[in-house]
Amino acid sequence: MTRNDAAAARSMRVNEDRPARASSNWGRALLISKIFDFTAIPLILAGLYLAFLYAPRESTMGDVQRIFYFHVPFALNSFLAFGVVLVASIGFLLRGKRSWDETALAAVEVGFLYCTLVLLTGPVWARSAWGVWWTWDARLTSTLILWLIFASYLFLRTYMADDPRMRRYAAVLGILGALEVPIVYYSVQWFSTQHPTTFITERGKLDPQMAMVLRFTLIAVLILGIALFWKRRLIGRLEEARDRLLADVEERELR
Amino acid sequence: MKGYLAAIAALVEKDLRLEWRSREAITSMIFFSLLVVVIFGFAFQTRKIDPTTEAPGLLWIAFTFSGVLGLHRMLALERENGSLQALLLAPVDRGAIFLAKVTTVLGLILLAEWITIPIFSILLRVSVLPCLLPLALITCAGSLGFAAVGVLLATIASGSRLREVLLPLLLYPLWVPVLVGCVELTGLALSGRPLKEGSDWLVLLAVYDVIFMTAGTLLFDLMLEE
Repeated sequence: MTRNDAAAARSMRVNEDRPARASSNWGRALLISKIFDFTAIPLILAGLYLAFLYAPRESTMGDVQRIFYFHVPFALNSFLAFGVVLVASIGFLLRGKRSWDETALAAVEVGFLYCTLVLLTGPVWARSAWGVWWTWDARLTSTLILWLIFASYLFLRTYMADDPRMRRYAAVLGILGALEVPIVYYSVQWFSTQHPTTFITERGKLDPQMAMVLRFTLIAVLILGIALFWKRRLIGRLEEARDRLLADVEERELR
Repeated sequence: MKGYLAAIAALVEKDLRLEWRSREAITSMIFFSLLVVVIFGFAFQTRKIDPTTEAPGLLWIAFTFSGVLGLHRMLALERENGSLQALLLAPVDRGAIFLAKVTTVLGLILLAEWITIPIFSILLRVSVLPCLLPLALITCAGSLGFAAVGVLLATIASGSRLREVLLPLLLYPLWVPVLVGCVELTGLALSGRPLKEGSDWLVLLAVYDVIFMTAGTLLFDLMLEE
């Protein structure tokens, strides 16, 4: 047996026990995903019931106010997703492990979805309360910019070849985008002092029943987000495994 | 520290000399700003441009578009003959390379802007003479932020086949808050009011510049690790 054969045999052995270990991890990950799914679905259904049937009718805005029970949770959770993007992107730049990058991507996708839902539910309410679908109000503007930054991150990932360099660039963009969030937030607050508008989330005045519903939907939307995030991470892991297999095959063909 | 500054100076000198020999970036930037102003002139032909509301927006639209043009040129320059790779092999801190690029781009953008302003003033009959100093301050603060974010994102975009499309897509969302600040401040300046009234916006520009210059200097190194 030559030295090369021995090395080949060793690498074969390594390759053979890798799938076994991966699959036990995989089973657990899949189970967790199912648990999140089956928690999220009833929670969202219950949230819909609470928001549309249980919560008392708001005296001035009427039924259209009920949209807040989902609008606000989507907004807060998309901010949270941006926090995850920041941490995961820094983690990826420092450690270089692909799982950090996949985490950032999954968070961006969920955050982008939630941000889109915020921008879709908001105008429905605005149309009935303010009489217009859109105004250049502080919060609306900052959410729109947030959405654009998420979108540009996804553009970067589709327009570049899938390689380590693209992941580093995406991480840099994720960090820049997250740094931008507080700047946008403060800048539009000054914007709003110059253009005063009515704001809605005055916590102190919230009826206890309404507050309860809002807290419930906040958690429901958070769990749904985690379920979606987890699923996206599973896809990321599959892609990672596929790339590893492809690399293995290529290596053997070369030999 | 002295070596760091010397490296930056050498890199800036190299870029400016290259630019001086071809003068491709600066002429295209100035001409493009001029075209934007002329097109607006035609579009608003029938009425006078309002100096406080429309003029600042128009001016910054021209700056935003021509700035991207300058970044494209800078990219093309580094792509030819793989000179970015060569630059990265130089025994120089990557942060210094970033700062040098920002300085060059800032210089080009400011030159283009300061040439555009008088043309704009004449063609659209907006008086800028009384507020040249505030305008200089606003363009400096705004363009520094543009150059810092622009160099980072242009480097990112250069990794893609569709770099000309990708750069504005990445840059404009991040550039929006500064754009709003610059437009507000330019409105104040053009209407003859003191910039102090918009001190919040000045703080915003300063904060943005500091954050993105720092982030750029730190990230540039991590980003280009091969």
